[in-house]
Amino acid sequence: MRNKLLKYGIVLNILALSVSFSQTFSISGAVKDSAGTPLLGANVVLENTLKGTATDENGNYTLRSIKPGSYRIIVSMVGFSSRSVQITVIDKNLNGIEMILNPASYRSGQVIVSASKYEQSLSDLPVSASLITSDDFSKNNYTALDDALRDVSGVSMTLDQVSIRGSSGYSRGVGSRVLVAFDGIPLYTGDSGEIIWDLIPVYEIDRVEIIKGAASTIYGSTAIGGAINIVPKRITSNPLTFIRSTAGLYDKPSHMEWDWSDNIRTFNRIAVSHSQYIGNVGISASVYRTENYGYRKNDYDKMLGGYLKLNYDISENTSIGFWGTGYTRQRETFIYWDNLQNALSPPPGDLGNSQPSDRQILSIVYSQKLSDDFRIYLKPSLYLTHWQDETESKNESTSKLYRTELRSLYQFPFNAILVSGIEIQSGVVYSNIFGNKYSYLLGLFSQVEYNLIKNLKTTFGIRFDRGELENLAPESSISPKLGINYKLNETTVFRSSVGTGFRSPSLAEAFTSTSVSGINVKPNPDIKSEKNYSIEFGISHSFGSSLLLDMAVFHSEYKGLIEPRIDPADTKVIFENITQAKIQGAEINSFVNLLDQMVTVKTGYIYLWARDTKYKKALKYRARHSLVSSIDINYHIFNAGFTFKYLSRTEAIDAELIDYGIIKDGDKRVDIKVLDVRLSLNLFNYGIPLRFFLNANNLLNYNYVEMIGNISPIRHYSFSAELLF
Amino acid sequence: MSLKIYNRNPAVLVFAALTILFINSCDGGLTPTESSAGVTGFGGKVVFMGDWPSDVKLTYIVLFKNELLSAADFNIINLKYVSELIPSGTSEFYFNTISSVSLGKVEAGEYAYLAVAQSNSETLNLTRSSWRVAGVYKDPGGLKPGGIIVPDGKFLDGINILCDFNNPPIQPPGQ
Repeated sequence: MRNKLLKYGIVLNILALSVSFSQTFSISGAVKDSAGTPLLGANVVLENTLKGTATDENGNYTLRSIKPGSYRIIVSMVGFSSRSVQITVIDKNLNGIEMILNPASYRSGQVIVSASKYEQSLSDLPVSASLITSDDFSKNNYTALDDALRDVSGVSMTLDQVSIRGSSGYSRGVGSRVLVAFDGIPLYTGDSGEIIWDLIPVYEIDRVEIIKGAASTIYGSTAIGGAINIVPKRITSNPLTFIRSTAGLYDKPSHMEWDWSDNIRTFNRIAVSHSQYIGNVGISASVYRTENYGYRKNDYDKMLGGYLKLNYDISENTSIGFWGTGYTRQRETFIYWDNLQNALSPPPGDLGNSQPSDRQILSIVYSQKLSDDFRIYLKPSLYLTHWQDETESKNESTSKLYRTELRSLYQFPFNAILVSGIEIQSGVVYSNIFGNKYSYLLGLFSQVEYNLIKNLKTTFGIRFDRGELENLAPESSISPKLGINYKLNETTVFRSSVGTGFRSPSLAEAFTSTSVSGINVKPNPDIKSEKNYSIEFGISHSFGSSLLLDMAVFHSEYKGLIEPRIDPADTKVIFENITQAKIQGAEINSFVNLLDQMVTVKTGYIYLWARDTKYKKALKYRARHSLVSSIDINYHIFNAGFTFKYLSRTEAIDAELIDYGIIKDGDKRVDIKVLDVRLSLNLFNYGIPLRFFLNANNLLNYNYVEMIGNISPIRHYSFSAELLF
Repeated sequence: MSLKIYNRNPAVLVFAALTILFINSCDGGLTPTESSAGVTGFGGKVVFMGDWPSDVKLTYIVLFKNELLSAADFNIINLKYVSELIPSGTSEFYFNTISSVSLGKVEAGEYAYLAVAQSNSETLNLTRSSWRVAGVYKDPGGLKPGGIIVPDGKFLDGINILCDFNNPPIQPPGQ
């Protein structure tokens, strides 16, 4: 097949010189695995162009409006090695171009969209990036995105706050130094600026793309430490219904002093999703319900959510889409333990505290192809939140965040692609702890990728932002970026980038005035944006088809870092630009395939040196060493695997919260060592659309804290069944 | 022999390393016995305001059982607790009587004088004239300055002391 295509290509190349370029043609074919099974959702792109599509459930693809010329088709799909083929379009459509993909754990050829907001191969990026796939969510029984991120090398979580390469510590759910987006729409709330992970149903995720390092040039404020973009599943042409049900239970605590309940603590969840096209209108909808009785006292959580995605292909060049997601939730609040002797119970005064909440995001996506080389996208969105504390404080907040992005993609005739855009954001908050406040932000950005010489891609971008919080002085920021990617040969790729980032303080950091569980917070009207720059050098090298090594060294410097501290004058927490910081480190990842893909071993290690350069001490909540390793064994219809995580004991924590007696035994913390084990049975090959999963998480029942005063989930077991028809 | 195996298959090395980590993880992590609940003592923060005197060589938090009525009360019998050395020039210092200890063990009872004392001598001694008081604990419950009651089986948090070099406290007799 390959030789045939090669000959075909050479002949057509010669003929191409004498052909008119006025017409356009199409390229079509199919993508299958080595057993001949059609692959759904494989990415098919023409290298160095804006042309791209994905295969349907029959594995078929069609690329339209292709001008005569020579191209390289790249086909990639997670779980398979990517393939490419050189073709030449002359004076007719090219049909029947079939591509066979072989299984692989490598993801270097996978196409992603987050680094530059258009499709690029992972191996073409100037920055480090990682992927989580929908299959990872299924087999690990991840119920929320933050659970999945804990297993990604270079990413760490402190309760619900994400950090990429040490960018963030813990600021009590306020602000984020990592931009998290769903289909390009940021997910931070309009009041506290936090990420609500449960808002995105994991069943609707195709993949999660993680960009490591400052990404403010493309994403603006908040992307100071990196960006995480969640790519939704595509709407299928034919009707497809998905049902997943999970039931599980927590084991007894390993110490009888902690055994506060006579009942078995259980959790369950069910999700139903359907996707299909009716004419030109695509519909994907899902509903889900989760209930978790919790391993801790006063930690019950119940949630009912829904997701809807619509797409209407108005014409071959124009489409309009809509997606919306939301939930209503009843959740008891466990902020910290009573003390280490009662580690799974809150202080008696916190019993009965809860926080009902309702959150919704709505977005419209309009896409218009103005010419073969020029496209525009318009993405207005609205994020609505409402929550209230059922405590003595009766804290309550309602926020609305309006956001619109107009983005264009232009392909120059000389192997360069330009992405430009304008982003306008306006927020309003009504709250008894933040006050009634408004915010706005304007961003203008442009980035060009150019093939300077063969195998060398250069990227240059710049962004201007101007923002204002209520009556604080408006602030402006300019964020440039430069990156290169050089493919030495088929097996070795070098990358390097210099990027800048900034983060505007959230309304909560500037205006919070409250008291919760003994922690008093006061506003800071003098707070300013924090800024950084980051540098990275990386190399990726594959040793045959069995081993891929990826290494990177990085350096970041932060100015005006916003951190919470306790004011000794009144012992109230205040968010201030209190320090400058330097974060340096190295990351190494390996992917090993053994026994003809039957066994895959993935290991990632990161060394982090995170220092407060002003006060010469360690930054809070950063582990110096972290390791994630997983082994998966695939045999026939079975998959067995485990993931082991290790993080060294964090050097610095919020000592004030302990010394002022707010969190008893808060200084008690240890290294983190967690072992998760999984087993799955896939009956698809027998024509039965069923998969079963058995998971045991924290199998060693190791007791540790990510955030002081909070024991992480103890050993728990779950059984899940997935039905697809 | 084993080296040959590693050379053939690096995964064996990875597997061996992970096995060691697993075994090492079986110690269970945090345990309730590490809790300071039920422990008798206190802790808090010392805040220093103004410029440190240039002649200060040593700074400690000290706790005396009985009132300092004369230089003779400044003795080792009366002295029940001495913290770790507080670094000169610092603006704030966290302490607790469990882990921040140079001398003594705090037991339940009423104590007459909790203070931050500074010496112009480079050696630790109980010569009254070598010492001056930089700050005295003020009990919000109305005890005399320096007084503190430590309940049995309880750890008191928030025992904070302010040392204002521009406004020093009344000095005990015998200086």
